[in-house]
Amino acid sequence: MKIKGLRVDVKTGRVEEVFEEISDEEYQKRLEEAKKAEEEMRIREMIERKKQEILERLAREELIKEGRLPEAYK
Amino acid sequence: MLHIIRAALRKFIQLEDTPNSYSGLAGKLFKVNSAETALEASTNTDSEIAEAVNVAANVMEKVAEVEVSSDCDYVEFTGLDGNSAWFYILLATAKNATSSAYDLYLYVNGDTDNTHYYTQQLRANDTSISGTRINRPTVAVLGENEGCLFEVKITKDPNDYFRFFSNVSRFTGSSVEEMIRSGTKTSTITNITSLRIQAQGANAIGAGSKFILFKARRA
Repeated sequence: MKIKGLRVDVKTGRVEEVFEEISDEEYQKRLEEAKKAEEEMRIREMIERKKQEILERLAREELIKEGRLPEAYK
Repeated sequence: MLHIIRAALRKFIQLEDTPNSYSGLAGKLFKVNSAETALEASTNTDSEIAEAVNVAANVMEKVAEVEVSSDCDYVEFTGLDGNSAWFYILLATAKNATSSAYDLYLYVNGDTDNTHYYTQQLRANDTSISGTRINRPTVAVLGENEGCLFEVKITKDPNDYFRFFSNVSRFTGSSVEEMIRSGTKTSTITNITSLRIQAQGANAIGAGSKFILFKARRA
């Protein structure tokens, strides 16, 4: 598997297209890593959203109990 | 008489107040010496050139810029000297040309082994803020077919560890998100000689992506 890059030599300002060989195994590993990272991010986001919902609900209930928020906000 | 002198002195190096030879001076400029009595070759250091053209030697300097003309996997800056520059700042606007979300990694000195880096990130999506630490040098995450803007500040710290932090704006409209990351390498380095921004997936740095690298110090 060849990966394509742009190499910029800052001394000369020259930009060249370069190709680098990586093994299929390495490429598969990278793809799996990408999939795993995306899945991890999705799960983290879902958990955070749920945490927010629970906290918001609890906060409303407490404020209503303390009489600082009308029942309509339940 | 004049024509005899002209015939004898046809070359710059034959004058009395100039170097006697061009040997070893390829690419050099000439300047008046400190005694103001002759011309000498400049060493072409940034500070010397800055002084000659009357600009401050301590301004941030653009090192290189590149616009990606066709989709690629990485953009690499070589020929750097982090020991002289102290800090580099990378400004980038990148586009993911694929239909999968991919990380953009920042590798130093050709070390593309993700396990040699750690990154701590904070992600703000509306009121939801999440954090995580990952074993790879992610500076930005590109959503599928999405563009993003990011900047990365880069250095070798006084204990010789490679460090960076990045700030990313991603997604659009009511979905806009902020991501902040702090990263290091697990072992020390002696200098920063090259920096590579590499996408996790093939050809994920799309045409139209732009990168400008600045150095913070002129030596």
